[in-house]
Parts: sequence; structure tokens; C-alpha cells
Amino acid sequence: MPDAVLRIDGVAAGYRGREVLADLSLTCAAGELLGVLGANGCGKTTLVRVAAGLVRPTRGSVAIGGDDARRLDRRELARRVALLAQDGGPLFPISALEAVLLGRHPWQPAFAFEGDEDLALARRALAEVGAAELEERDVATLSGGERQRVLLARALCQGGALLLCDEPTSHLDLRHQAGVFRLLRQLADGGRAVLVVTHDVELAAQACDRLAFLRPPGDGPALVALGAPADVLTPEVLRATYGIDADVERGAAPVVRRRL
Amino acid sequence: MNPRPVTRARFARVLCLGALLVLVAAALAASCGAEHVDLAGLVTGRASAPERQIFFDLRLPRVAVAALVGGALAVAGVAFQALLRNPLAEPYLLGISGGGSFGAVLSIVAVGGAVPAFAARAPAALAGCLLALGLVYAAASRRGALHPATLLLAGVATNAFFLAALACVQYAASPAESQAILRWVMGGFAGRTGPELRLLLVAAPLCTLLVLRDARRLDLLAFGEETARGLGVDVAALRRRLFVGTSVLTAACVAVAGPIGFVGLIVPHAARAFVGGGHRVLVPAAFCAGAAFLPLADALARLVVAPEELPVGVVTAVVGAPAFVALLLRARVAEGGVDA
Ligand SMILES: Nc1ncnc2c1ncn2[C@@H]1O[C@H](COP(=O)(O)OP(=O)(O)OP(=O)(O)O)[C@@H](O)[C@H]1O
Ligand SMILES: [Mg+2]
Repeated sequence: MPDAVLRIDGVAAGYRGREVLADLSLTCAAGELLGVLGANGCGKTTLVRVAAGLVRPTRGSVAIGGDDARRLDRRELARRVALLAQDGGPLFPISALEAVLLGRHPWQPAFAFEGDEDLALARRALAEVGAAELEERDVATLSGGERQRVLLARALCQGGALLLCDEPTSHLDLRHQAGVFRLLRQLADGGRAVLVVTHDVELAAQACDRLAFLRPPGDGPALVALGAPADVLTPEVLRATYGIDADVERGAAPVVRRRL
Repeated sequence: MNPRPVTRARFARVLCLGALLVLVAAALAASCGAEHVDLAGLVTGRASAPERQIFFDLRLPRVAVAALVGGALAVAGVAFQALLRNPLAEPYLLGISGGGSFGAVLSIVAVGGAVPAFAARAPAALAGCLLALGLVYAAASRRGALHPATLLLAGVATNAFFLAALACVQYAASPAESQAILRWVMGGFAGRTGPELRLLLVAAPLCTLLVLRDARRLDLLAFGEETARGLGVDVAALRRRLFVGTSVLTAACVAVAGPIGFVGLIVPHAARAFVGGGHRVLVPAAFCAGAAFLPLADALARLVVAPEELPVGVVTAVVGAPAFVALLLRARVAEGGVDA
């Protein structure tokens, strides 16, 4: 079996002595779409940071493309891992096309000009997220959902074997939520390893190969459950993860019915 | 908005236009003053010997100094705005000018009132700047990382401290000294020639190139620290480099001309309005805009009350403040009144 693109092994991580993730092990293989779910503040973003090599785990190891993340320099990491972060928009006026072109940074010398190939890649990425017509718009004036799609396009333009998306659908309408999950599914089918953090349990259950449910910090190991949606999307897991009462209707498009 | 990818052709276009702008502004600035100098006469060789002397020995070096200071302050402003993630940041915000002014003022008092020669004043000013830089750096750095908000607070505190110290010195100074101090803290280019020019000829291009090399990293930083790091930027090292580099550049400007306000704030915004926020083009554009603006402001300072001179800082503020407000209003209108 080929080694997983992302392998997190026995990891503990946190901030300034406060442990957020404890004893976490998971993998994401080429061709796999892995959904990460959990309550606010449970450490999903922290997991993404660990996977991107931005937060050093205090225990355990992270391997990307078979190499220990600690031994890869930033640039090499950026070539292997594309990150769609949760942080906001730009400070200064910048067009959507320029924003997407920034994804080429790890592949070019520090100061480089954009060539035809870069422009083609950026425009293709914009088209893939259905944002081709936004190319000339100032990113600061885009709607939240438009901006999110442009930033996803940048992550696509960045390339790399592993794509990490931190809540890529949080500002999107119903159509574009489905569109993003369809796109992530396609990217995974095309051979990338894709990890997506989301609060959309139902869409994640439809699109993802596996789901990882995280526990809030302080209650033991980080994982509540990890496995195929049909196996792990259960009322018990939802209760342990979110502390809610819910029924789950199984099927090709599972439905989570919450009770107030 | 244009999509504005930074192709080689666009970069070259901006550089050429910028250079043209600087040349025209410099020629204009060098031709005016208390004595009129006929530019055409200089070109055709009809100009008189005194005209030549005024133009080549006095005006041209002074214009060159003003241009380099203007360009340097504009680039420093661009870098500080990106570094502090604050569009209102300017090179003097972090105490560099306060420290430099204090140093220079001490040297003024030490020689009893005359503004001392560059050889005495500049090292004092530079020492003051570097002291301020060191204080801010020490206060704001945590395990080698400079946090923007801490940097800002440390800088503002340092500036306030040095300005208070300066006020104490001025309060105790004689009227003649006080007059010289006042002149200096308003900034100006009177009598700035050879040595000043040499210092700037080294510092300004060097630091500008350093900032330019980091231009795309600045674009990324504008999107947020997480994004920048995810795309391979060592944010901590970038912040250290930018802070120290642009502070040294600012220090050179302050040592040469005193603190000249507003250039480092408005020129970056003006340049952004024309070429957009992408730093690979913005840095050279801002340099050229600053290098065109300050010699013209200096010429105006020489003309308004000729044969006396206004401090150039007065001109930059009087011209700059309304221009800045107009620019902001224009930007607001363009955005449909929505703050981004
Ligand atoms: N830079 C930081 N310094 C200190 N604590 C942090 C930092 N970032 C996050 N935390 C804390 O770590 C915990 C996990 O945060 P994280 O951002 O990983 O949550 P999350 O699962 O992504 O939440 P959300 O669904 O709201 O995005 C939270 O309690 C948060 O307050
Ligand atoms: Mg999060």
C-alpha cells in the first residue's frame, strides 16, 4: 500500500502549554477526501495547522509525502501542502486574479514576474471554482462567498499533493456549498489527498470517503470516531462530538435531524 | 479594477513612467527658486556662469537629496503599512523620528545654537534613531517574533518618550538654540549637498531593493499571517528584516533632512490608487512618486516666501493633508461607501 500523503501519528498539540489536541492519529491518502468535524474550539483549525507544519506538535509526528514535516523547510512544505486558511481578506486593493497568482509563490524565486503559464494556471483555477468572471474584481469588495471561492482558487493554483481546507463553505449559499464539495470530490478523484474541515455534516457525509469527529479538548483522546460516513455518522457520535440530540436517517444522502 | 498581473512588461512600463515623472519633477524643481534658471539655456549652453553654478552646485544636489528622501520615505511607508497591517502606519510611527530628532537637537544644543554641520549632526541623529529602534525592538520582540500590535504600541510609547525629552531640552535652551531646534524639527533641505547625498545614494537604493525583494511576501502578509506561512513565508524573519531595514532607511532620511511628515503616509496611498496594492509594482511606483513629490514640495517651500524659505515639512503637510482626505473620499466613493 502506498504511504499516505498525510500521516499524523500520536500527535499532541496546543498553544502555550494548553493542550488542544491529544493523542491524535489519522491519515489522508492520495485520492481520499477526509472530512474533519467537531464543535467550535475543539481544535479543527489546530489540526489543519499541524498538518500544514505551521504548529509543531508537542508529541508524536507528522509526515507529509513520507517525510517528517520537521525536516521539510517552509518552501518545500508549501509545495506539498496547499492551505485554505480561515483568516480573512487582504488589507490593500488587489484583484482576484492577482490573489490567485500568489499561489504560485512557492514555485518561483522570491521576486519573479508572472508568465503565460502562471496566468493560465490561475485562470483555470478561477474557472474551476466558478469564479472566472470575478478576475478583475477587487478582493476586498467581493461578497464573503465570492471571496471564499477566490481563495480556494488560490489554494488550487498552489498545487501540491495535499489540500487542506478550513471551512471552505462557511460563507457559501446552498448551491455553492454543494459546488465546493463536488469540486473537492473531483480533486480527490484526480489523485490529491484532500482534508476538509466543515460544520456541514450532511454534505460531508455524502462527499467524503471518511469522516473524523473531534472531541473538545480536555476529555481525553482527540478522536471520537474515524471511519466511513455510514459507520460513524450515528446519534451517539453526534452527542459525544457536539453534545446534541439528533436522529440520523441513513442513505445515499444522509439526513441529520436535530431536536431543539 | 484591472486584473493587474505583474508581468515583465507591466513592471517595465511602471518603471519607465516613474522615471519620467521623477525627471520632469526634478527639472522643474531645479529650475525654480529665488534665482530663475533657464533650463533651455543650460541645454544650449547659453546660460551664464552664475546660473550654471546655482544649478549644478546648489540646486541639483539639493533636488537629488529631496528626491532620494522622498522615495525612501514612501518605500518605508509602504513597508510599514504592510508590516503593521495598518493602512495608517507611516515611517515615523515607531519612534525612529523621535529618537533621531532628540539626537540632532542634542547636537544643536552642544554647539550652542547654530545647526551644526552634517558631520556632527548626522551621527547624533543616527545614534538617536538607532537607540529608538533598539528600544522598540527589545520591547516588542518575543522569542524573535515581532507582533504588529505590540510593535505599534512600543513604537508609539518610544516616540512619545523622545519627544518629551526633546521638549525638555528645548524648554531649557536659549532663544537662538530654540530657533535652530524648531527649524530642524520641521525638516528641510537648505544647504543639504555632498555628504548627505552620498549617504542617501547608498541607503535609499539598497533598502528599496531589499523591500522589493520581499514584495510578494508583503502581498501574502497582507492576506494574513496564516496564509503567508502556508505559502512558505517565514513571517517572523520577514517582519524582523522589514522592521530593521526600513527603520535604518528612515533613520538616514531623518539624519539628512529632519522629520518630514506626511510623505510616508500619503505617497503610498496615492501610488496605490494608481497601480493597485500588489507590492512588486507598488514599491517602485511609490519610490518614484515620493521622489517626484518631495523636490516639488521643496521648490514650493523656496518659492512661497522667497528669498526666505518655509520648512518643507510645512509644505508637505499643507499640501498633503487635503490631498490625503481627497484621496480617501475618492476611494470611499469608488467602493460605494463601504469600508473594506
Ligand atoms: N493562536 C492561539 N493561541 C492560543 N490559543 C489558541 C490559538 N488558536 C486557537 N486557540 C485555542 O485553541 C482551541 C482550538 O482552536 P481551533 O481554532 O483549533 O478551533 P476550531 O475547532 O477550529 O474552532 P472553530 O470551529 O470555531 O473554527 C480553542 O480553544 C482556541 O481558543
Ligand atoms: Mg477553526
